[in-house]
Amino acid sequence: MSDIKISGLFWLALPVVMVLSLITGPVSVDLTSIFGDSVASQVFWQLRVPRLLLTLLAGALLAMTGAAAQSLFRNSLADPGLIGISAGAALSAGVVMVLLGSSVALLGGLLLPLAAFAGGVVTTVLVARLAVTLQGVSVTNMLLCGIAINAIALAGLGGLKYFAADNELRQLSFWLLGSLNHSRWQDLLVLLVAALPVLWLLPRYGQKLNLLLLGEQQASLLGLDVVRCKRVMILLIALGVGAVVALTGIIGFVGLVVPHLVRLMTGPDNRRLLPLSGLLGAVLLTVADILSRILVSPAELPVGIVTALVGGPFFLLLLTRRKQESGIC
Amino acid sequence: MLTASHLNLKRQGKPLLQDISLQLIPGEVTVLLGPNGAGKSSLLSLLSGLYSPDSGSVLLDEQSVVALDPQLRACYLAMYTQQQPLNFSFQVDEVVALGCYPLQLSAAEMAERVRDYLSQFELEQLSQRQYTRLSGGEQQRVQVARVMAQVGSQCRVLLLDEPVSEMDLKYQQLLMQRIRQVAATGVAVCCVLHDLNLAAQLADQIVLLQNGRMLAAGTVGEVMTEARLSDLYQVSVRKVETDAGPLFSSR
Repeated sequence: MSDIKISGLFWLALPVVMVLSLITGPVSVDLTSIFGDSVASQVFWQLRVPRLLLTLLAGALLAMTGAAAQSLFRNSLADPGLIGISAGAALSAGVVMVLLGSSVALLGGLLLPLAAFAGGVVTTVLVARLAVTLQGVSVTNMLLCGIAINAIALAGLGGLKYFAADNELRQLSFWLLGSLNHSRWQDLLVLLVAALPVLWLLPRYGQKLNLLLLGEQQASLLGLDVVRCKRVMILLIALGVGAVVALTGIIGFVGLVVPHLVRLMTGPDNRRLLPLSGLLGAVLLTVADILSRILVSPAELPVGIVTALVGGPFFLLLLTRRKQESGIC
Repeated sequence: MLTASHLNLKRQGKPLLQDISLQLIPGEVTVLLGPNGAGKSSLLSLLSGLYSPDSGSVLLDEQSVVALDPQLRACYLAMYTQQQPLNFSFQVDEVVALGCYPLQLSAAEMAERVRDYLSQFELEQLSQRQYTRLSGGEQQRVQVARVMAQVGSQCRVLLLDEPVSEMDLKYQQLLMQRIRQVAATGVAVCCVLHDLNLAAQLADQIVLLQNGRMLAAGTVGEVMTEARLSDLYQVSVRKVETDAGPLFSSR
């Protein structure tokens, strides 16, 4: 299938899932009665629309930063969740959430995303330092590093829960499960501030990331300022992941599954991979969010559970395929 | 002209290169010979500007190679390195196209150039295949074609680190022809080889390296003597003069 057809398919799917997302939920919303003072209208404008927009942005950001991380580490298993970037961002945001309590809303709600961004930068740099050996990127080091960072973050978050007051404990626990059901217009604005540079700049680095896939030496010999490119990538990945984690908690596997699916359809060229991953990420996270609302209706599953239920087996499938192909891993 | 003067390099306290000086002359092919660990790849890395020497300098027409802007350096200098860690499933033609990146070509010029280099290295049949599914020799041919595609009109230096290590005889000879063609356009070429016969066939200048030091430099006739090569490789090397040039064998 050509790139244009694939892109067209994703663009066609987008309005369909958007409409489904807007009409799915415990309160029945009829699209003909969304203007007025009815409860349905309130639900539509104050809950469904911001939730949908936040989901679309979060899905696009998670998928694009996942694709970028995989090119940065030259490995298709380098999902920001698996290698600890999300956990680092979550720990940092968690610390701020518990320490500041109700003051966390200061700075117009930017405090949590800023903390998550800082945590994301620190973890990405740490993984990059530990995973890259003289022989190139060591997958073992990268994944072990992810296990260690995830364990440390888990312990840190456990400690925070232990010391947190009742209110913060509740807030922290719900947030960590990865959920979109408290999305507000204000959150959307915060996410948009972080998303714009990521969504604008990442696709412009497509060809540079392609060069990086040849290895750092070859990329440098082809004229790429490798150090600068890696720094920009680390900042953009941490910004995208950090902002999403701060507002929605940890939603795993989107950054792994989506770029893989796009690569299967269009190949690994980042000039196509990055924008198409963004598009498919937005579509698939919206589908996951719809599922989270109907699977245990009228209650709601945190969307992080749905993505993990799909993404976990997908990751195992990838490992099995790699084992069969042997050598590449 | 690329001029290296008194290069010294240490890693973890161990000297890798000691007081190496050499010149790569436009239009000439220099072949580096030496046993494993002699410092050939380290020397090429310094010549390319990928790393700085601990002392000494590498100048490309009076400009320090290390200080060159990466984009400009990529126009002036192309290099094939031994390690090619690409493990994403690009198509062969996409890999070759990456070599054209520094040349800033239009889409049509790029497509034309890629076709040309695929043809030069007899890769047309493989052009749509996934790089990761090729044999080692085929992958090496693709990577060499990519590096050669980088050699544009501004290019002055071509460095090749064991470019034929996995190629069969036919493609070894094909590459030797291509290297001579590039040199004929005024590019200074430096190539690391292990095959003495290929080295003798290709080189205008031979440089022998041993334990990070330059043992000898000169023409094939001057440098590639039985005694010196036997001493260098610690095996008995025999040299037979033929009409087609010297032939080397070892036992």
